[in-house]
Amino acid sequence: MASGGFSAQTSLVLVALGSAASDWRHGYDLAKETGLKSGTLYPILIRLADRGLVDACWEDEQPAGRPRRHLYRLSADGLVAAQAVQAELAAARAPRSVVARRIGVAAEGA
Amino acid sequence: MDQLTGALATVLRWMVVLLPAHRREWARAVRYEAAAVPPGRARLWWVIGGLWLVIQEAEVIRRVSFTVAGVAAGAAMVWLGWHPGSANPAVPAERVAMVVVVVVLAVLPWVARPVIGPVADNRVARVVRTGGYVAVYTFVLVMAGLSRFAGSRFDHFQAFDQDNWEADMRSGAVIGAVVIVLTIGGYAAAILIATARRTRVAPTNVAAGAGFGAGAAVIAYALMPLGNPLHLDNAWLTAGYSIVLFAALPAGFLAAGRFGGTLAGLYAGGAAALLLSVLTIGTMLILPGQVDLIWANPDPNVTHGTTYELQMSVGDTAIKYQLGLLLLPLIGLVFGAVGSSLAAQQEPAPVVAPEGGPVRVGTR
Repeated sequence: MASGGFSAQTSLVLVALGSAASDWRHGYDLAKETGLKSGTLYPILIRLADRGLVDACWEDEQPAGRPRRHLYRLSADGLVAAQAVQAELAAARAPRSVVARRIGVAAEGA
Repeated sequence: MDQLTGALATVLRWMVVLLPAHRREWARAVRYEAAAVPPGRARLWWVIGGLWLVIQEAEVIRRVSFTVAGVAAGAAMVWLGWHPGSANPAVPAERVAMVVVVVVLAVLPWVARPVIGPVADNRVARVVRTGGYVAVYTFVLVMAGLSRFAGSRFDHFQAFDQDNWEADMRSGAVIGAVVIVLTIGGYAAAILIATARRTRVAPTNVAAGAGFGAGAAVIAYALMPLGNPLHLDNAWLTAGYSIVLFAALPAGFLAAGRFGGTLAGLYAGGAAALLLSVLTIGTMLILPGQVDLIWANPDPNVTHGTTYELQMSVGDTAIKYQLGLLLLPLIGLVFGAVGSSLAAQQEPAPVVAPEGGPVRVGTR
């Protein structure tokens, strides 16, 4: 599922964040959605944050009985990258007959 | 299991201090997030993942691990090259040289880091640095093996003029020790410099040099795996074989210069020299009976292929590869410069736009 120059696992994270781009997400939520372990997920989030594709922050309020959680959301550049990844994946999943038909139509028109 | 998870979470809390300041909040993020993970196996693996994150991100752990591995490899090489029980007067100098080489290889990355910075932030630099250092360690191991095998003929040698012979061996060993320490230290330093962040060598230059040099070395080794040209019956085959054999390395250096610039030729020469030495001398040590007897007892009536003759032949054959460590980088530099200038001549000239006139594009 690698695309856009990103590894398969990074693409998973981008797509997961892109599915609800305006929402702040928790690490465990992302791990459940992508199937990645914490030792894999967090290095990816670190690299994406270093590249300015992901914004990270702590919860504003100190909840009772548990520590504050770290939150993640795509930046504007990250949203563009996630959309590019989703577009590539959609193109890769296009049925062969559809592609063949489009090629055939293009050839007839030439 | 919850107790184990709690203990590992405590370890994770302590290990946060190993991280650079800008990474510590991420380790805390993993640890705090564990409270949201269901207790039991899931939370245990979550915390283990956090420990793995710290191991990946804590450069000091990586550097200490590499140094420990290097010291362990060095201890093994010193043990291999110690040559106990030998009366060879060259052995003390060889032991000192081995210890100094091992120390230099272990300490050099730490000493160089404040000057040239850490490894460059690209995969090519990391691969070339790791592979290059492994090649240097392997070369030292091969040289220790060569000393044990070829040098053991002098373990209890009785010369006609013993005192003069011992003096010659001692002085030769000291000079050899200095040369080997400087050569190996020079190669290690060159690998660190070429792949350092502050020296800003382009990844394409490093990749071209290492790649073409290694490729040329593999071809040359395949054609001459035991240090001497193969003996072919057919004259045409011999001619073709000789041409390819002598062209392999220069062609590799030219290509490195063509695609990576003049310095890539230098890197290619060094990579080829190192890899060719390791492969060929290593093969000779594994198959000494297959090495050409370039030294044999001149008396035709004695049996040939004795251990002494094999030791002499392997030792003498290996000399040209040791010389290659000094000469091939320079040859690579020259051919790299030629390749680079050929590439520059083939590039189209920049667009020329004389004032008020038409735009012209030409070639140099």
